[in-house]
Amino acid sequence: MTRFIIRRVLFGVIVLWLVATTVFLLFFAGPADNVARRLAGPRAPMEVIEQIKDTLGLNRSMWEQYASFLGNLLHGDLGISFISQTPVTTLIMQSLPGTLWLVAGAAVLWMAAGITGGVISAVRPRSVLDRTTTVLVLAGISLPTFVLGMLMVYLALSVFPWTGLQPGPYISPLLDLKGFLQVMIMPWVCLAVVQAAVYVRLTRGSMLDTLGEDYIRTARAKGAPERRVTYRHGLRAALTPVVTQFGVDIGTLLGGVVVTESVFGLQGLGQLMIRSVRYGDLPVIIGAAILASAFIVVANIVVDVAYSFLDPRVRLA
Amino acid sequence: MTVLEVRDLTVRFGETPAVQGVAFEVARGEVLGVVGESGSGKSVSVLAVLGLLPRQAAVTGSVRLHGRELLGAPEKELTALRGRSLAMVFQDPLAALTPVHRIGDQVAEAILAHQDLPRKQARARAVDLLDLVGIPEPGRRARAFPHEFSGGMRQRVMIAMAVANDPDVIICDEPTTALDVTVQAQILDVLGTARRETGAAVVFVTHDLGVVAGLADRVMVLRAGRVEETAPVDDLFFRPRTAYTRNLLAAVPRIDRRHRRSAPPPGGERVLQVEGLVKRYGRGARAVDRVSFAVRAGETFGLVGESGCGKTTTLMEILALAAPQAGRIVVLGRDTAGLTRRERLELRRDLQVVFQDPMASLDPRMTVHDIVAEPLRAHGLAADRVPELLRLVGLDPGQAARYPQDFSGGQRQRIAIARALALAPRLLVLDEPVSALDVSIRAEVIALLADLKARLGLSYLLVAHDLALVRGIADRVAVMYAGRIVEIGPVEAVFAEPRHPYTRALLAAVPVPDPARERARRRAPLRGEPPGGAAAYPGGCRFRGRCPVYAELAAAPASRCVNEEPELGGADGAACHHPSGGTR
Repeated sequence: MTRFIIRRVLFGVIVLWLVATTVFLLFFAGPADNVARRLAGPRAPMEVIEQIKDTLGLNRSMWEQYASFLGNLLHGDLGISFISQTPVTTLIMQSLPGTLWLVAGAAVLWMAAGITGGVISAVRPRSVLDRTTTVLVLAGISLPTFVLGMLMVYLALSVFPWTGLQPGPYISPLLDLKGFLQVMIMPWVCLAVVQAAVYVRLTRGSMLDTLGEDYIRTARAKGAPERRVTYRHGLRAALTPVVTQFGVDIGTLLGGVVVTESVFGLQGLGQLMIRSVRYGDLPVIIGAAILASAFIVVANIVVDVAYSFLDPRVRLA
Repeated sequence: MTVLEVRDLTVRFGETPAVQGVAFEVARGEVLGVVGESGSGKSVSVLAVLGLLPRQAAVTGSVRLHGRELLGAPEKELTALRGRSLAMVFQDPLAALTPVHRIGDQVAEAILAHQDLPRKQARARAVDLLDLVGIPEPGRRARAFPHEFSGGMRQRVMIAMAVANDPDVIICDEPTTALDVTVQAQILDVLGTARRETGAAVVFVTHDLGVVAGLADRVMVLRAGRVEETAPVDDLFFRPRTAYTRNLLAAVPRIDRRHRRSAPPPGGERVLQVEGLVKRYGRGARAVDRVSFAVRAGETFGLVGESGCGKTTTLMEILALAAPQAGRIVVLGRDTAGLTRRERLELRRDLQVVFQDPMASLDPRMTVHDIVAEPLRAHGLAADRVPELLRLVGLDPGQAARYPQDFSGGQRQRIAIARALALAPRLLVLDEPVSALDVSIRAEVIALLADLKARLGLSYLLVAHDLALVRGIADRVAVMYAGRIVEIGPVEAVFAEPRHPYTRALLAAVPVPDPARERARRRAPLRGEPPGGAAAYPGGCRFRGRCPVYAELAAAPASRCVNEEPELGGADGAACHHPSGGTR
C-alpha cells in the first residue's frame, strides 16, 4: 500500500511536470519579441514590450528561463499578475475557498440524490418511479447549467425575495454564516442537479448489474431482509464505478466550475481563470492550469486508494 | 413425514411456460434427486419453491411447507422462512458469496437473520459452522474474503450458511458442478454430514446422473418443464419407465466400463512430440514442469487432470507454435522453436483447435458461413468448401447465412468443428469439447468426432476433466497433477489398473450412474485440494500432502517421497516411488 502510494505520487509529480513544461512551451517558446508582443497585445508601444522583456527575463536563453520557471514553481512562486500586480498565489488563495465550498456542498447534494435515485430506480426497474427518475435525469442532463442558474436567480429575486437567496461573491461562513448560505445554496443546487443526473444513471446501471449477481440470490436465500440485501450486498459492491467517477469529477470541478460561478457571480477559481484568459494574464493562467491538474492528479490517487477499501479483491501494487 | 409438498407448479416467463405441472414431495431425512438437461426447468422449479425467481415470473400451483402454503404468502413471511426452514446451496460458489464482505460475517449474517443473538455469539457460532464443514483454521479463515478461498472451500461456506439455522429442507442446485471431481467427492461428504446434523429433507438438482445414483432416495426426471417420471432410485436406474430416461441413461459415458475400440495403427508416425516442456508465468511456480508425451498419427491422446494442473497451459504452449521456455515441441516433424513467421502460418493449417464453449468461441456478429470460411481466407484459399464442411459435421448448408446464436449448443459446437476442419488439419486439439453440452448432445458430438477421425484420418489431442469421456474415446492418456504428468499409458491400462495413487483417487472419486455400485462403494475422498497454478512446490513428490499411500508409509520409505521427486519412466508408467502402496 505505502509503495503503491509512493509510486503514484511520483507518477503524479511527473504528470505535473509535463503540464508545467507544456504550459511553459506554449507561452514562452519563440523569439523574445514575439512572446512579449503576444503578452502585451498588438497595439502596445515598444517601451512596454521592452519592459516586459526585461521583467520576465525573456532575453535569457530558453533553458535559463525554463530553469527559473521550474525553480519558482517549486517554491510556490507563481509570479505576479500583469493586471492586478498582486502575486498569483494570493489571487488563487482568494478564489479557492469559494470553489472549494461550492464543490464540497454540491458534492454532498449530488451524491445523496444521485445514489438514492439510482438505487430506487434499480430496485424497481421499469416501474413508474424508475421511469419518472429517467425523465428527470434526462431533463437534468439536457438542461444547460446557465439556463437553470438564471432561472434560479430570477425566481430568488423576483418571486421568493423573502428567502434572501441571492447571487454574489463568496462570503466566508466564519464571518457571516447566514450570508454564506444565502449566497451558496443556489450554486450548490444548480451544480448538484446536473451532476446528480449523471450519478443516478451510473448508480442505476451499476446496481442493476450487481442485483443480478448470484450472491444477491444467496443473501435472499439466507433470509436477509430486502433492505439489507439491497444496501449491504448490492450497493456496497455497486459503488466502485460511482466512486471512480466521483474522483474524476471532484478533481475536474475543483479546477474551476466556470459556468456555475459565472452565473451566480461567485468569485471562485473558474471566474479567476475566465478573467485572466480574457485579459491575457499569463502568470495567473499558468498558475490556475497547474493547480487544476494537481487537483485531478490527487483526486485520482485518492480514488485508487479508496478502491482497495471498497473492494478487498483490489490489491494495490 | 412429508415436509415439502409441491403440486401442479407452473412457471411462466411472459407467454412461454418454463415449468408446467411439476409435482413432488420430500420427507424428513429423504433425498430427492432432480435431474434433467438444460432448459428442463429444474433450477426454475426449486427457485420457485423459495420464491427467488425474478419478478416477471408468474408462478401458479401450490408449494406447501409443513402444510403451509408458500405461493402467494407475504414476502415478510417468506423472508422469515428462507434460510431458517428452507435453505439453499447454489451452483457456482465463485459468484454466490458477496465479494466485499468477510466469510465469517456472511455466515454470521445467516444466523443473525433468524436468531436473536449478540453479534459476538453469532460470529463464534459461524466459526463453529465453518469447522463443521471442514474448513481448516476456521477462526482465522473466517476473517478472509471470498476471493481468498478456493471453489471447494467456498462451497463449504455455502453449506455452513445453509445449515446455520437447522433447516427442514435443504435445496441444492448443482452444488458440485463447478468443482473438480476429488473436491466434488468431499463436498458430497460434507452435504451428507449436513443432512445428518439437521435431519433435513434434501432436494438435489443436478445434471450428473452419477451423483444422483449415489445420493438420492428417489429421483424425478424433468424434460422441457414437465415431469417425465419420478421413481425410487433403483427403479429409475434399473427399470426406467420412459424411453427418455432410458436414452438419458444410455447416453452417459461410463467410467466403469471397458470400451471396445479399433486399435490405432501401431507405431504410427508421431504427429506431435512434446519433450520436457516448461512454462512459468512471471516469477511464479512452473505451471507446466518438464512435461513429455507424444501423439501418434490416427490416435486420440487424452490429457486429464483437475483445474490448475497445467493441462490447458500445456495445450496453449503447443498451439503457440513458438519456442517454449524450456523443452521442445515438435509438430509433424518440425521443431516449433526454429519456425519463421511464414512456416508457422503454414504449420497452423495442420494444427487446429476446438474450444470448450461454442457460444464464447464463435463471434456472434459473423454468419456461420463467414466463421467457417475465415481460416480459409486467412490462408488465402477460396471459401467454396464451406457447404461441404457444414455437411461434413451434419449441418444444413442452407443455414450458412444465419448467426451462431440461432443454433443450439450442440450445433454450435459442430460449427466450431467445421471451422477447425476447414484447412484439412492432421492434428486437432480438443479443449473440453463437450463439457458445455448436455448429456444427449454430448453423445452426438462425440460420435461425430469419432466418425470424422475415422473418415479423415485425424489425430486428436483431447484435454478434458471428464474421465468417463476420456475412457470412452481416448487411446492413450496422461494424467497431470501440479504441472507434471504423474501417469501415462494406454487408456485401458491406466483406467483398469491405475498405478499412481493420484490416478486411483481420481478414478475412485468419479460417481457412477449405478445406485448399487455407489452404495457398495466405500468412499474415502482425497483430502485437500489440487494446488492452484501459483502454488510453489517444495522438493520431493508434489502429491504427498494428499497422498493416502504416503500417509501410511513407514518413515524410511516415506523419506524418499520427501527428498526425491518421482519421475516417469518406470515399468509402471507412473511417477511414484511406491506405486503399489509400498508393498512391492
